[in-house]
Amino acid sequence: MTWDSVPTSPAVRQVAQAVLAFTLESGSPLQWPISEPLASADWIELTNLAHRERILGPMQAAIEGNLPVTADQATDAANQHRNAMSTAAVLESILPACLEPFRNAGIEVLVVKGLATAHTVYTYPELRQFGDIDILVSPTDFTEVIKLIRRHWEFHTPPIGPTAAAVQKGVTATIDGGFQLDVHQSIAWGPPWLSATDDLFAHAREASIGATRARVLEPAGLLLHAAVTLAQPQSRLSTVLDIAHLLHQATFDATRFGELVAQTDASLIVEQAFDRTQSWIPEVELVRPGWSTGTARSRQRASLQSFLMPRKRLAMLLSAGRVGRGQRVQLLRDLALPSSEWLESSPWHSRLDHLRRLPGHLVFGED
Amino acid sequence: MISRRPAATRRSGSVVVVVPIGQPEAAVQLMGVAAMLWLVLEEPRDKASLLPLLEDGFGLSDADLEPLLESALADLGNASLIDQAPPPLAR
Repeated sequence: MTWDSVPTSPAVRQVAQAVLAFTLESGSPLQWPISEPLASADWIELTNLAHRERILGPMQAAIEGNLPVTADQATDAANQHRNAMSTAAVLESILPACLEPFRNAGIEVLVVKGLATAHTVYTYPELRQFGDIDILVSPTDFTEVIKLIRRHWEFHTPPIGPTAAAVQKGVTATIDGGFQLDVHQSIAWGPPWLSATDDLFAHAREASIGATRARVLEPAGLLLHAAVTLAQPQSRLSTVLDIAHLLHQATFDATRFGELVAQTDASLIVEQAFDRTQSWIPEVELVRPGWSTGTARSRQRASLQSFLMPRKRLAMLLSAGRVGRGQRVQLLRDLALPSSEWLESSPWHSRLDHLRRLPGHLVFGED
Repeated sequence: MISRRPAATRRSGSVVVVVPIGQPEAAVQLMGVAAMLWLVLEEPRDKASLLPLLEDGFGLSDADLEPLLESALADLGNASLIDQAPPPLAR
């Protein structure tokens, strides 16, 4: 989540925490931390938080569960939730058209993140808000996927060269209605993560996403993906809610989850994600699955992996093992210099801005 | 028999947002009887079986419900959200 955007008002944080917990304990009596509606300034802070962190669904559920609000506040929240649900329903309705080109090309995809989670983790998909479509493809198909995206949609050219594009986490396209299709080849950054993708495909399952049947990550994979997402600076409270629901329901295969954590050296990242989730939902004890912390060497690797998480490009550089030795010089060059395609399609201020950020981009992997 | 067309559905309070598959420009928001009907149409049903459902939901009698049902079905039909199978042949 945007961890620097934690509510400044204690009342707002308490209400936000209670709202998240309510979705877990729905149906049972819950003592709200306020007996009167929030004052105007606090209400604005709460709704800004809910909008930014994509928890308008839990807010609406809480209001239907008698969270004290004024009539105007109830209308405000309902309008915002309805807009969010309109977006979610539109994305769900265009999912079949997004998957069709991949199916026609014989490329297997898994639906991940918001759409998959809303329909496989939550009893009421209205609780889960999302703003784009995310799919996972095998790294071995990634080059073909980029060609396919270019044929069907508007491809967002990254400011890096073609060799580097082959080892980045994913690519983005603009699809119908101006929405984004994010195509991932990994659920995070770095070498072990790329190799885990094929294993995630092997354990995928089929699910109904509204009127569409699609393959999705297994619950243990969804939990790992959510934990990894939460380790990123731009993650949201909606991901905290995903982790809380997955842990609370405990319907995932804990042994399999442990295998995935070990396979991806993600134990530290996962621990941190569970800590953050519990800190937002202190009233409900979330039971964590146990897993082996591994050898000292693997713990060191996990620590390094965690350290590298925000250093996206640097972490991807470690993936260079996927690129032939003869191509590695070109890979380094592509990481350092923008692609000619990007230069041609970008206005001068974007090019200047990219140049200014290049040191951070190269050394720290900042966007 | 009446059944709903494939669409994405989201409930938000008393409003149901419906987006026909592949037709985001045809999105509609349903309220009241039309919204309730949409939610209960998951399985194909005939009009006679809808009346008791609405009676349970609204606490109204058959006589009150009949025009509401007709009006709601017309709304859903106008929005191209339902399929109506032809009536069975008389024996």
